[in-house]
Amino acid sequence: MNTIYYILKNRKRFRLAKFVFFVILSGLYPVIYRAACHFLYSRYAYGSALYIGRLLFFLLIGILVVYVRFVFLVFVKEEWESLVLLGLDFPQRFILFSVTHYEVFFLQVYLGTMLARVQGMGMGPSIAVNIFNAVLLDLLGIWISLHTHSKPLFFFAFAIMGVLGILVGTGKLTFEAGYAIVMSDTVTGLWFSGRMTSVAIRGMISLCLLLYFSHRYGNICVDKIIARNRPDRMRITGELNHWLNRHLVYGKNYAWMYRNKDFILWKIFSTLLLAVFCHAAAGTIVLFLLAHGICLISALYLKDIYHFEATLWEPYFMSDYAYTDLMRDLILSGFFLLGDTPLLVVSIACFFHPQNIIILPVLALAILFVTGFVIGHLFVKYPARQDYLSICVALVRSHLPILNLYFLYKNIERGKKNWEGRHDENRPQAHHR
Amino acid sequence: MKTDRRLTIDNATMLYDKKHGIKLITASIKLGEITAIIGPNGAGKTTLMKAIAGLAPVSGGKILLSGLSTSSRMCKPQIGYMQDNLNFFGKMTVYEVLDFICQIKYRGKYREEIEPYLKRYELYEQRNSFIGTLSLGMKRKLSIIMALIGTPALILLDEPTNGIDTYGILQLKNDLSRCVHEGSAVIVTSHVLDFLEKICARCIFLKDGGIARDIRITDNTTDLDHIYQEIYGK
Repeated sequence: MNTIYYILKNRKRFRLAKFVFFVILSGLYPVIYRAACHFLYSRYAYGSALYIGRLLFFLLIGILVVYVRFVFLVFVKEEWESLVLLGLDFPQRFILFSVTHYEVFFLQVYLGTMLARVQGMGMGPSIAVNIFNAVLLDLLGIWISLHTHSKPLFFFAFAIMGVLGILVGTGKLTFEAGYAIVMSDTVTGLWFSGRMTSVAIRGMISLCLLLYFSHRYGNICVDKIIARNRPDRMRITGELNHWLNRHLVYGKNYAWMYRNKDFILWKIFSTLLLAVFCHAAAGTIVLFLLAHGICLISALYLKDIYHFEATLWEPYFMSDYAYTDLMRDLILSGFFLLGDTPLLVVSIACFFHPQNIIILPVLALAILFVTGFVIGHLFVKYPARQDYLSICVALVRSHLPILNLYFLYKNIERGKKNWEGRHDENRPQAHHR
Repeated sequence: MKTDRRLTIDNATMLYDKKHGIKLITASIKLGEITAIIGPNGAGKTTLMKAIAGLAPVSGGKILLSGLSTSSRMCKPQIGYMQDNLNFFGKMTVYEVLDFICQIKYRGKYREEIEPYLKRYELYEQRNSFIGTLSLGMKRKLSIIMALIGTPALILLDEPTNGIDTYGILQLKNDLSRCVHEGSAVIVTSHVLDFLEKICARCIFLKDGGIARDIRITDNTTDLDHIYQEIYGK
């Protein structure tokens, strides 16, 4: 219990954000399910819709297995002290891993149930089947992570790819053949049967595998797992970063923010939400209000940007970086942070519904104004500490007609005076996070 | 009017707790030489460095670099200061931090110096690593590079040899010689007298916030160990 508490209390915000995200997703299940069914059946014939549903189901399993493979190793590396010193055995580690990474279970049950119901399965059997599916893919992902560097596994994976390539190249594996395999009775019976015997068999297989893993990997040496995987120093996007960050001060905050898991989670959630409402063909005003609302919530993250900048007060202090340059860079990076995904989704929606095109420039201007206003408000007393209340006040003020322009002007004036006076004796003391 | 190209410290005083700090420090340091500031813990070395950098306001006196107050905004690009705490850069990479410094200090100039510096200090492989993942020694090396990049007119290094390896110290000596050759004034604090003897032209000994002795180092005749023991009685 102490271990679980220790692990859960770290990275609190990300875990809280994840929890809230999943709770909201659960509440939106009927809406998303109806939207998914409408999307499939309005575009494809019944047979093709089932086929696509099954392919997506297998794709989901594949993605989650790969995800478990990577995340299990990170889990072992980060929690190895607890795992080793507390002498946890495999079932306890498995439970700990599953509890702390419940997104695997959630996504498999949530999306797997949807895709299974498209195949005609009832709600109850599809939930039960997908719970056992989640256990199985967790175990499979863990098994792969424990054997990642073993030669037989690589040989097996490449052999499969090679065989598939040959079959496709020689025309032996055609669309019809693939369709026949995916839609066969065997696949239906194994994966999409709502019969209780099928569910029970799946449950027994999960239990047996769990017992086998306990026996086989009960005393797995955690140190060996860590040593087997060299740290990845050369980040794949590192060189791309250099190319993108030519104007680094614009990109610095953007790149930094996207290295925070809860922000990424929020972006994914808000993009999905907006995409669903776009597809549901919401009216122009509703779409604009939703996109704008999402950007206002994203504006709360400007507090993190502000505090990041506040911790950089010493490098700024040791330069003659002008306030106008600072504001330009912050507003640009803030604009992209708040508006990147909403503008992208709305652009795609406008492509399919050109009558809504007016939203795009209006939304962009609104985001730019809100970003500039909030940033100007926050930096008035740089580097003094700011809180969410301050941002809320700024957001409210930014929506007051005429007065907002007055506040914007005053904020910029005061902020500039504070910034340029930071070299004087009366400068405010920095508050490091 | 000819600009006086030197660092002038004129009766600089900065006290905190009414007792600790620096009192009436006066010195004139030419550009193009390395000056050491020596003293035991609490003598006022770091306080003096911060006052020279303009990070801590002096309550009395003034500190001028080529006629400009070091606390003025216009003087800042001419000062390279070795930051002691890099933890706030946390999720930025090594390369990004140096690029950031070049951008805000020099408007993007001297970016071409980043890779050579990283290679010399054996940080090239870590150029895409987050600052938070670096060891103490690597962070110290990065701080040194942040102070040296762009070869500013005044370079302030507070105990640069702490935590860095022998190869890093050798590179540091080479870089300091190069900077001095290019006309920078370098002020170094350190407890390692051997290191200072080899690179410095002048040593200022601090005691109780004031200057106890100010000497020029001449080859083979200056024994800093002996002078240190004379001043501090240890």
